[in-house]
Amino acid sequence: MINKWKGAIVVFLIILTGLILSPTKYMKNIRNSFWVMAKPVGLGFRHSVGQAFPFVRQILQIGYVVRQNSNLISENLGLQSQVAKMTEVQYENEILKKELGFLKNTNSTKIVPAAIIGQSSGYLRSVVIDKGKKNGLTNGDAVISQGVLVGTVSDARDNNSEVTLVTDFNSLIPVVLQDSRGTGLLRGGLQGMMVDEVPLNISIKKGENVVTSGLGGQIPAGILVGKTTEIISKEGEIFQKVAVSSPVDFSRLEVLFVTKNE
Amino acid sequence: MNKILKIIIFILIGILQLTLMPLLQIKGMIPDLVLIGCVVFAIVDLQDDALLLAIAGGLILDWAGPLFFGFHTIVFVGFVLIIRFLLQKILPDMNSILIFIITFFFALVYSCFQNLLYNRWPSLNLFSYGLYSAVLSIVFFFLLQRLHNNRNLAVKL
Repeated sequence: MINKWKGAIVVFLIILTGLILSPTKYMKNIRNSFWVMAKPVGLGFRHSVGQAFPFVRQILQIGYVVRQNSNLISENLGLQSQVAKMTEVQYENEILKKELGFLKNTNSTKIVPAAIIGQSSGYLRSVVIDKGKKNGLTNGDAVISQGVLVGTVSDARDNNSEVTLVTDFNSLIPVVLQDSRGTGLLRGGLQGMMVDEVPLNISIKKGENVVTSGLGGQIPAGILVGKTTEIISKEGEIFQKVAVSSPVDFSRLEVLFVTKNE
Repeated sequence: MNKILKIIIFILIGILQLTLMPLLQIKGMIPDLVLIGCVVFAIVDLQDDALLLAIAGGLILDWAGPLFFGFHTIVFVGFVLIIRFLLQKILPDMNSILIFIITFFFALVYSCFQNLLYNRWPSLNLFSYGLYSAVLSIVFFFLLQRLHNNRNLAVKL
């Protein structure tokens, strides 16, 4: 009888061992070793199939791409003039700081590039990257793509790490609305990102930048997250809620950069 | 096919699920290859292969995933046993429409379990996920039929 159930007993013992090890650091090491082995496969697929699928999608969306291109050219021209003005303002700011004897803020930022290996769960909006504690990563580090915040390191293992994207339900990041200067918490979810807990006295503008506020210390301040789209809070609520859209296409993330204050 | 070779292929399916399938997601929906494989194998009366895939593929997903170890293995083995019971007692005659419906149903249940374990309420996206998985199960079924040259599969078109 035991021979007949041998396979089932072996599987049951493996599951039981895994369950016992789950809350311990050994499971973290085991998961680390899995992703070390899966890394070449994951990177191989990203460089092959990962390029083919968006290419096919782009061909099907050619009309949208042409319109978007035209909008981006106009926006780019507008931004260039803004950059020129900002450069002047920054120059004046530096001169004034020197005149007034302000100490310069010398916090430097370390940037670690990382490639996406895969995704450990289809339900969490998270990815696994090929850098870990051995590269200096710690839980809570900010992860950016194209200069925009896309997530935070949620589980740093020795050789790889889990990054929770800002669109995930569990993501919670302190942010500030750049024009109206209202602070709030950026949450992800199925309906998209939104900034919650903005005080009622703040006059939120549509299209203003949302950047990290630096509160909490781990995520550097000033990293762009997205732009406000519409206010979604109802009358009578004690805080305002505003929807936020990110310029990053989260389905086409490739290389990420982990930033940390030093 | 040699049992060891099958185990290796099923382990590779688990690895493909974690590395390739995220690239083929539609609006954030990533169908589970292991779930689809288990259901289709079980329905076409390849019970041993279904169990082997449930165990090998499930252990890989447990090994790499963030949930408690054993979740995927237990769920997939449970699904295979339920389908076996259905085939014996209730639905002895299967066709491709029933494959679609059964895969859709089990994808919904699997999705609900995961949502509850992640402390979320299931949303209407469940149905899109179920449809996507069911469509892939039909594709997989036809590929399996080709592989077996239309023989020995206990399913009519």
